[in-house]
Amino acid sequence: MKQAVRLLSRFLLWSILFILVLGSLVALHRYVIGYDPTGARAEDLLLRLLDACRDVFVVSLLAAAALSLFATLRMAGRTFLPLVTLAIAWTVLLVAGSLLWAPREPLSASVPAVPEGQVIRAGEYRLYAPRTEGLRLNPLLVHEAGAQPGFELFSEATLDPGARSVIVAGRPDIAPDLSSVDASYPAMVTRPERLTPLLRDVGAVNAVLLPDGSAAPHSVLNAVALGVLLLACWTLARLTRWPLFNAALVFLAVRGALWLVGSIHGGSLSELVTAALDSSRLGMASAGALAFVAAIFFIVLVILPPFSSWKREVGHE
Amino acid sequence: MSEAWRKLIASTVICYLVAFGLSLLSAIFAFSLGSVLAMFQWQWIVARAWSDFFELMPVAQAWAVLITFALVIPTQSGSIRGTSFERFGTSIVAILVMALVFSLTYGIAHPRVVSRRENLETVSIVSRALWRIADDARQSQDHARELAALEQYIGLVGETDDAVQRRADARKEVRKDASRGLGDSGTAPPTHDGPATARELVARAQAARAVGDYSTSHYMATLAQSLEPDNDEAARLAAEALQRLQGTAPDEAESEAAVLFGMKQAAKESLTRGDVVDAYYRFAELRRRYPADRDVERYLATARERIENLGVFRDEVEPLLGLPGTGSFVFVNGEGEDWREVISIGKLIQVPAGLYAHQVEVIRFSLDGSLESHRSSAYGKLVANADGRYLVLTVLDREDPSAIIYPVDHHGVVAPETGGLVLLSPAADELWLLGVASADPTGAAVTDLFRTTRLLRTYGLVPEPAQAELLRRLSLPFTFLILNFFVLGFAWRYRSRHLSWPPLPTLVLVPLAPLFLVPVYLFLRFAHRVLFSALLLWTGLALSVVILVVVEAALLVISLMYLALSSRE
Repeated sequence: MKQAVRLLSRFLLWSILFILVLGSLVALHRYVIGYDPTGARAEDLLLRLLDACRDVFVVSLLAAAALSLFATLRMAGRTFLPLVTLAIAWTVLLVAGSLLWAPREPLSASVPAVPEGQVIRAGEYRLYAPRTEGLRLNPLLVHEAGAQPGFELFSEATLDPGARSVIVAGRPDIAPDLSSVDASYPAMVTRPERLTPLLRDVGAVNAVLLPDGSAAPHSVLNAVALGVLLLACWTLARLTRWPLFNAALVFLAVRGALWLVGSIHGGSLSELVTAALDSSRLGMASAGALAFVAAIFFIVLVILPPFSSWKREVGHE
Repeated sequence: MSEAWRKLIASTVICYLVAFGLSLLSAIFAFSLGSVLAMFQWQWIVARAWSDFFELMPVAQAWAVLITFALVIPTQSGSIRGTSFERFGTSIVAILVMALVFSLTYGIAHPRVVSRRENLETVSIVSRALWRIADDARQSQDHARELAALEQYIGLVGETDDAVQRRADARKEVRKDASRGLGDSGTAPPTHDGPATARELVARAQAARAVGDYSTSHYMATLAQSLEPDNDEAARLAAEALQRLQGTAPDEAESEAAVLFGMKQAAKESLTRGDVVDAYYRFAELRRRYPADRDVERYLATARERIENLGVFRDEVEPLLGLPGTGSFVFVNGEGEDWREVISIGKLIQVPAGLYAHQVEVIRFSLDGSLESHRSSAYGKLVANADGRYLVLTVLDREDPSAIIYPVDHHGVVAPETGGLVLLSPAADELWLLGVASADPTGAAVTDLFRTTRLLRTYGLVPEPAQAELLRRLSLPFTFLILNFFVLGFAWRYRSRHLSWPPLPTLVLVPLAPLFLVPVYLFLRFAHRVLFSALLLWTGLALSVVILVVVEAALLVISLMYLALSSRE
């Protein structure tokens, strides 16, 4: 029991650490993207941190759970009780998050500013607004790459926070996308392209487990299924006598779970699932898929040699 | 364990080779004809492969560390005894050396390949636009514009068969247009009062002879003879006038000297009154006719010197377009209380002869949104004289005065004598730095990034992205070491416990390890970038550099502590 409590506190500590570190990074990232030299306020950052903590809650629990699994491998004595305690803890936290952690009223949208008197690049456009008043830019000079002549001057334009674009009255063909602004503050924190699939799947899992509206039953179901799958990953953590290989398998399983949920809810598997099921049951489908994978891992666990012999072989005893 | 570093180096070489092969493969798949012209395919692929390889060198190194310490050494040597330093000392030194190699190659070669890749992409966009302009011009029968666009296209991408053929066709059409214009004026019917009779013509011939104008007398008499071949008086007058003319005409040499003198006078007058362009072409023509004339040689040199401050020769700039240069950039050239002047340059090329620009556009407007002037030119050249620094926009042909291209005025009226000149605020090296750092800071050398930190804001550009790139470069060697020390500790802690080689299926981890290492490394770098970008905005560059060094040193110590703890048996 003592070991279970120690393991549990370690898991909670890791979870808090991950939530704070990842949440801070997300908050800082949003702060830099929406940085406005004329109206930067540090107090906004704290409010953004609360929003960011919600966004990284699930992925932080997943990371902390994976680390805790490896901690159980080095434990002396029986591992059943600590493992089950841990699994209950992370499942309860995931379910509690989906039931209780409702999103706050959103802060003003984080629109990349068009800084006054500075040239910025947005896709194939370069924008220069010598004077800005709130969302109004007057005048606005636009330069389009490849066009001859490239410059066009507009006496007025407005920022559209919703569409994250600039609107020039009477010229719908000119719509610089401010979410792709570079050569300005957002360029400082450009996301690496290779991380995009991972971050997209994390976002999809967040949307399923922590919905913006009231918590749906399928959110709770997915939270439970994910909790069970994490417990089942223990099979992978002790599969071979090469712990690094086992760690890679656990990483792969967690990554695969993110992909599975993401692709059933609007990704590559979405069409396949909706052909067989009603679209309102996508949540059931993703929970079922996670549970199915977990069941396979549990079956493999049954045929594995006893844990005590594995510990002897890898030198943990 | 003293052999560990040798195994590590061997793994490193293999992993680096495989990593480059994978980068090459990835670049081949990433190539798209939509963004780069087919003729640049392999140049782009090689540049992209190298830039990806340099980016992922720390991962390749971590891969080698992982294989060596999690698989090769445990399998071959079993459990190893000794302190952490005895176990890993030589390998840590090897990793330090590799970090140094990485820092040097990344610092020197990476900006070049990135800038090369950017350049190929920019050239592709611009040359496609030029090809479209040439198509439009042909459809609208504007062959001079088509020829100008094709000349630029060939300057940028080289002499492709279809471009050369089209240029030849366009040249023919331009010549045809020109001859049609001349023909029209040459065949225009002469205006005269009415037909004269032979008698009247003879009378005029006699009148001309009376005043000693034998040339007119001969002309009139010959005309009268053509009307009445039997007119004896006309024949007599013609013969007499001819005889007189032969007696009084200067010899050939005198005529030639007179012509030369007249032409020199006219050219010199042009030079004196400041019409340098006219003077240049007159002296150039004289030089062709009289290559040995010293006066012509001297005045031509003066005219050439002056004209180079007013325009750029087409044959001087077009061969340079294919050379590496900056990407396209826009900057604020001047500002007053109620006006701004902004310049766009498509590409800037630096050669020992100076700075040349492709696709220059200058716009000047009031803050109330009214346009004052807007000019563009295919080429420009930076010239400096006692009055200041200028970008000259007039494009000259060395031989053909009719092929001069003045800047296109899209709006406003500019005084002809200053229309081809733009007074520049930045100095030559500042202009080059603006182009290098504002187009894409990852393609700029560290020294350039240092120099531009204050410069960019002066010319209306946001300096923080360049500063953030500078911080990223400074942190890269630390990131390399931190990642590899963590991986070394992790690999040893989770090394294979099989008594011999592990089962075959587990060896799949060896080729697949980068799939796990790449996201970890990218996340580590991304986290660094986010943290230090926010710090940069809060505290400024100087303090951010100090905090960066402190944070990186702390992370380095933590990674070494993790390594020491991981090696405890």
